Amino acid sequence: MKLAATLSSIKPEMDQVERKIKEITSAEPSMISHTSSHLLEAGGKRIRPVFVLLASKFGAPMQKDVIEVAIALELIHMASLVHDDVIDRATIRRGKPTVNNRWDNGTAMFTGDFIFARAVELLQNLDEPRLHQVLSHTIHQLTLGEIEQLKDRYMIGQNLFRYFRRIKRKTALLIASSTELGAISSQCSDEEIIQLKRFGYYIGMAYQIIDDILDFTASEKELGKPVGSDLLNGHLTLPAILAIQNDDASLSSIESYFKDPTAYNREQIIQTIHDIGRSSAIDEAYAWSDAYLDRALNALETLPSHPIKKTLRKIAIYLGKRKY
Amino acid sequence: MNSVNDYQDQLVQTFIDKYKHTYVDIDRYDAVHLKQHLHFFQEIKPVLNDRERIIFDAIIHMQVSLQIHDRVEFDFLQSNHTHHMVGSIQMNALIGDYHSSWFYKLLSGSGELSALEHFLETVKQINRTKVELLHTEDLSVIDILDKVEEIYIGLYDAYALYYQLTDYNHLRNQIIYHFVYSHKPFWIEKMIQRNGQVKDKWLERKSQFEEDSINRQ
Repeated sequence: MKLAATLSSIKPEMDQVERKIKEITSAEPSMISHTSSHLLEAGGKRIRPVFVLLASKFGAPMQKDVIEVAIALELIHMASLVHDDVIDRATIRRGKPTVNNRWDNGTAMFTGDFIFARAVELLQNLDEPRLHQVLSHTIHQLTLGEIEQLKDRYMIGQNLFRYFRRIKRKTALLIASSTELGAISSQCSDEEIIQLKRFGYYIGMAYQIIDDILDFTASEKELGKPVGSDLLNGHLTLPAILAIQNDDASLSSIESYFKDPTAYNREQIIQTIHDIGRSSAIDEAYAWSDAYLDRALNALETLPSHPIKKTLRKIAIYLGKRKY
Repeated sequence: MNSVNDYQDQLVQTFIDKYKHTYVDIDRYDAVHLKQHLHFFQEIKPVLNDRERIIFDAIIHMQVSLQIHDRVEFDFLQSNHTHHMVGSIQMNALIGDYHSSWFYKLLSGSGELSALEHFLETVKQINRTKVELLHTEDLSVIDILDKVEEIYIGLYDAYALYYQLTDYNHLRNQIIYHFVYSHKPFWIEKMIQRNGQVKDKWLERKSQFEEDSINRQ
């Protein structure tokens, strides 16, 4: 299934979002413009704007506010990515050099801070304080998730609860905010807002689990970064947590690597990454993702009959089954 | 004197107790600078009602965020990073994001959207200036010092402007002196590394600030 074909109904609005993001980033003084455009050109699925636009279809006909909200969400996502790359010391994202790699860490940090402020500013013109309340809560949770992630780094004794709480804060809440804010900005009813938020949340959880699976199973070319980057960077994600529970050899290898990630034989951990990618832990992780996907589809069923439900269902399934 | 100092220490402690993340060690905060920020912002507007207190806290969060993100740039410049040190720099990046999220959460949660809009403009400008200083080769020495001052004074100016305080210039000079000329902050060190003439001009301005201060007494 091609995502573009499924999204044909919102293509004009998505083009508008893309065009406006370009306008916003290119309007800045040269270096901010260079770094922001560099981020933008790296592409991405733009799933946050997609969910804002699709959720808004349940409310009043297309409004300017919805486009602004969609742009703000994507800008906030971009700002968080550029900071993530500094934290992970990443050199490549989506096959392109990261801002911190091409320029330096300061440029990446200050560009991220600038984009964040610009994104929040975009919502200022909209006469709806709830948008800020939802978004500021989400961004705050996002930062809590990031701190937890760093604290948990190179820590072997992590349970599933910690993992799920982390991905909720790190990913799911921003996608939940996308559907919620899309619904708020198009004046959906309170019940519709709640159900669309739930849908976004469950999709967000499934999406991050799939992302974590693909980090073990996709190729470097498909990922646009080295296979197993999460584990190499000390992040224990669902497939690794499940593998550790099932397999002493994985436990021992990861434990040794986490104890001394600089000196340990890198070939051994790469072999472990390869082994996890072919283990039953992957099937178990897919089962978790499917469970969240089912919950998302159930939330969708509670929404009023609307042609866009079919599109949301297709996207949910696409994101839950994607290969990269 | 001690009681003033104790009071300021207490302000720092109260801010940290109220807002510090559980996972973050207290020594990550530059207590000296935090104390100075709390002191100077309070000097600008000593009496605050409840709504203004929220704006005060929000602005302190943003100041902490802007300052700690500078440390990400400058700490990474040092060579021979140990594994532990890299983790420490990474945590600084996150603490900055955490405090800027508090800025947004406090202002939006209390409906202070006009304050939010007002201060966002300054936050954008400060980050533009930082990027400009890192990348513009042909800035004059005077431009460089003006821009470094702007980084440190930007939020103070915005705060005074928000409350339309007219009698702020003397305090403004004290703040600039404190953060830019009483010692060499990161940005001055960095600019001197790039252009040796910055040091001469910096010393000249430092003397001028000190002379003005003496003449005023």
